[in-house]
Amino acid sequence: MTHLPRSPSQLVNPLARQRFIGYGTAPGGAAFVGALDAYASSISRLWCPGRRLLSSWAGNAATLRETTGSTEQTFGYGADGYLNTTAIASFLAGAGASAAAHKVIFDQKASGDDLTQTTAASQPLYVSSHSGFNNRACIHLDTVSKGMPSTLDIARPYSILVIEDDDGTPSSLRTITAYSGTSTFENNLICANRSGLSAFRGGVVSTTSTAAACVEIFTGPSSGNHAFYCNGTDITTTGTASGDWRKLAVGRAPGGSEGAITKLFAVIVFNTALSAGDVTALQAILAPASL
Amino acid sequence: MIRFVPASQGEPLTRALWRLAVPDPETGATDKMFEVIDDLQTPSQRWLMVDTTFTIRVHEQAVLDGIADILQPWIEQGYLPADTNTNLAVFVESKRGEMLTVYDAFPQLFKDMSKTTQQMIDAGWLANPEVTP
Repeated sequence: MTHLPRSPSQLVNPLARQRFIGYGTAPGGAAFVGALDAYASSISRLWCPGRRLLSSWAGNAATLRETTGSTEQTFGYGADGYLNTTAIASFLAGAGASAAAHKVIFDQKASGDDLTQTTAASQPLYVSSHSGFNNRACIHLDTVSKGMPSTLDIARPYSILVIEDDDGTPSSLRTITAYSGTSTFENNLICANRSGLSAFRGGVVSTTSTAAACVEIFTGPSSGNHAFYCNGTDITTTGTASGDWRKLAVGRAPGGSEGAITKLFAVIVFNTALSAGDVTALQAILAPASL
Repeated sequence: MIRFVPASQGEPLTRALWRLAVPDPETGATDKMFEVIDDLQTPSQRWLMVDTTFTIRVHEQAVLDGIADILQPWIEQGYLPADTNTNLAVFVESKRGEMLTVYDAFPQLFKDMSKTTQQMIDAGWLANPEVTP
């Protein structure tokens, strides 16, 4: 496995650096430091409306539709790097609404491949605070019909990182799905706690159920078998080499009939197959309890 | 719950339904209310993928034109009662500014023709999504 290139800034203990995140400007007035800045060159897409993870992204977090009057507004991150939930609360109060749904989730890599769902009934809900994610805001796929497609064609080598906390329902089936063309569903998945099958791509990759709130990482090397990790532990159960991902969707893919019932904090696509060491390092940075 | 409602005019219908909530055609011009899906039959049939719990607040300026246009041929061919559009207009008028569970307003004929996801899969009209270890 290839280790990710390290930038000079990473010579600083990443966990020590991590402590600055969430407290706005670092001591001495230093600029914002993204928790994943050291991995920026290895990331193809980064969707995380609840938190700004790259300092290179100064754009917005998400466009939300309040579900009462269906007006929309785009929201950004605060100085601390977290979604401006105060502004969202004001927006909802002003509209007399109690809930909102995601219409757009911006890619922090600035690719323009923003997760977008223009069909109102398929838009995942906005959750202002979820205990499984250290009381941070997140995305809620509350029915299997919810989903947001990306247009990225994923090619080997790659890794897909998902931070999720499923709702504990047996029908939680596909957190991440694949499709080809414009709307042809392909039978691939990453899904926390799907009974006896948490990862599949052209064959079983893992039959081990995952933890509740967890970081899942699915890797596809240039050649050879896929691997699947949960909270830093390799839970690959079957050596499956076949298959690529085509396009990725969060929840239900275009042409598919089901997504998942789960809460999501982030979905990140890497342009490399993460090594076990990388997985351990990312787990330390993105552990759900310290988001 | 999801029900698949046959809708040969699925695309204009789902946009027209959304205009009940957001009547301004310039706002979210490509926005829709429900997904439109072509099934696996040959030739394929078009369905509206309806979340039966989905609610909107009917806009004060909501317009019915698009929906009425789609229903009119069904009325003319005798599948729907002649007063369908009139009754629908009265219903929407009564709901202006209020919350509406959209599926409740669907004509019974279409509800009777709708199918569940499992029925669609059993008929071979939707890709079977099951993967087993």
